[in-house]
Amino acid sequence: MESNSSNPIGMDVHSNGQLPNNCFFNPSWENSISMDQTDPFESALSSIVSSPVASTMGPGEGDHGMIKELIGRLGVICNSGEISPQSYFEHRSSNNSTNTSAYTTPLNSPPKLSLSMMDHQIRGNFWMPGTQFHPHSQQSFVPFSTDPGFAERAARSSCFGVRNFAGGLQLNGSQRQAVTAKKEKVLSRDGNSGFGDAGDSREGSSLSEQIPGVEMNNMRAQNDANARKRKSAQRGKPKDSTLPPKDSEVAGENNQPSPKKIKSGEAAENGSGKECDENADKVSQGDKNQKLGKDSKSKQPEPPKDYIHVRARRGQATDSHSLAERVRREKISQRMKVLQDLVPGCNKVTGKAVMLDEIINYVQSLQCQVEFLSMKLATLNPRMDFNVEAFLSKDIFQSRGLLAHSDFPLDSSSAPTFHYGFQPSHGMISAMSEPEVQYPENPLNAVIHRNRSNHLPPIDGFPEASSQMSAMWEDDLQSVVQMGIAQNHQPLSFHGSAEPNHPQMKVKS
Amino acid sequence: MDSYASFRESDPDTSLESGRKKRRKIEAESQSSEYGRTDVKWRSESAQRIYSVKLVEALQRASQSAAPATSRSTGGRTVRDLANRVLAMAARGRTRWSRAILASRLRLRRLRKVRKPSGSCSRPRKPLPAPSEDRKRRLPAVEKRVKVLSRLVPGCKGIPVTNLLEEAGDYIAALEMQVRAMTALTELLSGSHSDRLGSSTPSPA
Repeated sequence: MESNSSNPIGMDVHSNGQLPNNCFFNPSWENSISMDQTDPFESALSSIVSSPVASTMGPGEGDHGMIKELIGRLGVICNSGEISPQSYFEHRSSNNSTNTSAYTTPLNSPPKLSLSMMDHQIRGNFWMPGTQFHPHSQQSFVPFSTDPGFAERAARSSCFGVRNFAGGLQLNGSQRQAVTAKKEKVLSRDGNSGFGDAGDSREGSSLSEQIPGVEMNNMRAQNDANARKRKSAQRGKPKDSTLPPKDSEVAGENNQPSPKKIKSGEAAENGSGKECDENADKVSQGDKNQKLGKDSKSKQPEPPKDYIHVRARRGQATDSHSLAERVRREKISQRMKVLQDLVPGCNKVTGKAVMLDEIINYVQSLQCQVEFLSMKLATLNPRMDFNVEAFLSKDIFQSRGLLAHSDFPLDSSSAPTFHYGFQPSHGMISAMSEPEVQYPENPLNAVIHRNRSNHLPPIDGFPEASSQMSAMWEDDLQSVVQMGIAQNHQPLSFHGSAEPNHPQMKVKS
Repeated sequence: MDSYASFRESDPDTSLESGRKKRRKIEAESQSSEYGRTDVKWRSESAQRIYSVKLVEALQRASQSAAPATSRSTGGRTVRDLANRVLAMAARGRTRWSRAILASRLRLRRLRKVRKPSGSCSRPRKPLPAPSEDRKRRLPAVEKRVKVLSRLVPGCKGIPVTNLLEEAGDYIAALEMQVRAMTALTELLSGSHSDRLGSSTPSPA
């Protein structure tokens, strides 16, 4: 009866024109679907059928409540649609009036099985927002994944069918639009989410493109929803300007159908955000968004929430780009904090550049230490045959963190025995030790010099001294090495007293 | 992490140290509670032990495979590469740098001619972006350092900053463990050697 309602059906049938499409609206959908390997649907169907499709959902449902409410309405629409499946199927490009009339008739019929089918689809779809993780959504879409083609067709047909129904039915204007919008989004997402985000958005857009006759609201909403999906996934899309926050007012407000649709779409899409790994607990924030919807609603032209449910604070830019950047900045700062803990001496440093400098220096120093130690190991290698395993078993366990952070108090229990087994007879080692060290702040310096030609008592697993010796042997790395190691050996009581002092040896060249 | 503490305490020789180390470990754990789980993994005693054992095995294998007299097996660079490889193995390939280290070795093996340093190498630097960019751009200073850091960490050339920082954190923790293990190893060997040499008079501290 309305042109827009007629065209989509025709278009839809043209687009798919396959049996399962129509089977979707077939009263014997169950049977046909079972042919089409929707047995998992059936099992879920029973559960869904039992669940009440009422608008009185729990407060924690949030989106689910809204969606289920709409599902209820949708069931009515679907029922209207399924009444005339054959006519829908036969009169492909014409006779839409009969379809519409047929759709209008069973308006008051109770939800039938197809309702539960769509329920299941939608529910499966909206399990995503609950889970907030895309992988989980994938799990919930197992039934879809069994037949992605079917899901796609079903989505398409349902999308178009819903639009058509909405056009045909004389529901409450906004409600109908909201319902159709939700439905089309849901179902488009149904088919889409089986294929990934980017693909989904494109598919959704293709869906919308196929229905030029659909009323502009729906199409635009669909495009906006898909645009938002793409944008959120790729962060480059020009966002929809009318995207108020959560859909608390979906049912309530009738004056803004498209924003509501966008809201619902966004709410539905939020679950499939690409970067949903950030905030798993943002559903509550979504609810909070509902309460503070007035804020962002006052700033109409913006999407306040990113996929990661970043809260757009008051007074801050709520542009999607700035939101994304803010998220990125927060991530970077969080990791910088972790690095700050790792790298000694970064606590006093503020600013990314200086901290990065420190980090770079530290990494370089560590790498040089490794190189130096490897050289040492190379010289010591021939002697590895000598009871290495025995020593390993005994002494490796004793070797503690040498380069751990600078804060551990080293009460040197074996204080006087820090001396490493420094053998000047080793050509290499002595050569290495030659350019010894202007370590002005190293209390061991004098001792090392003194003991250079002596046989020092072997350290029974006193790692600090060894590392300190190794530190000394790198004259050109003294500064960086000292920065890395010496700080950890501050309390090394060179003179035999167990003093846990922590001289801050921050020699940086 | 309690397991580590209990394990340490089981060592009779290191009762004192174990208490100290437990404090340090708890402190480290508190520091790296939420995100820095990776470096906690690297700080564990078992990780260091495993790494040391593997390193010793690899070194022995290397020294046995080649003639003992040749410098090939005992070359410093060889040992360093070997140590890095063992470290990358210890990382279990979950991080980018570990995979890059192992992959570079494979590439080296295939090519056999090109010598790719596992660490940083002198690549021609890209010209810095003009500072007169949009303010939203990252500062060139930070960007410069990010590039330098990406060169330092193996296998992190063109990755975003966020991932780079993550990799750098794990790499730093792994390097620390590596230095610890290698130092202990060298100390062991030298200690054994000094023991072997026998006449080691304790010098007056």
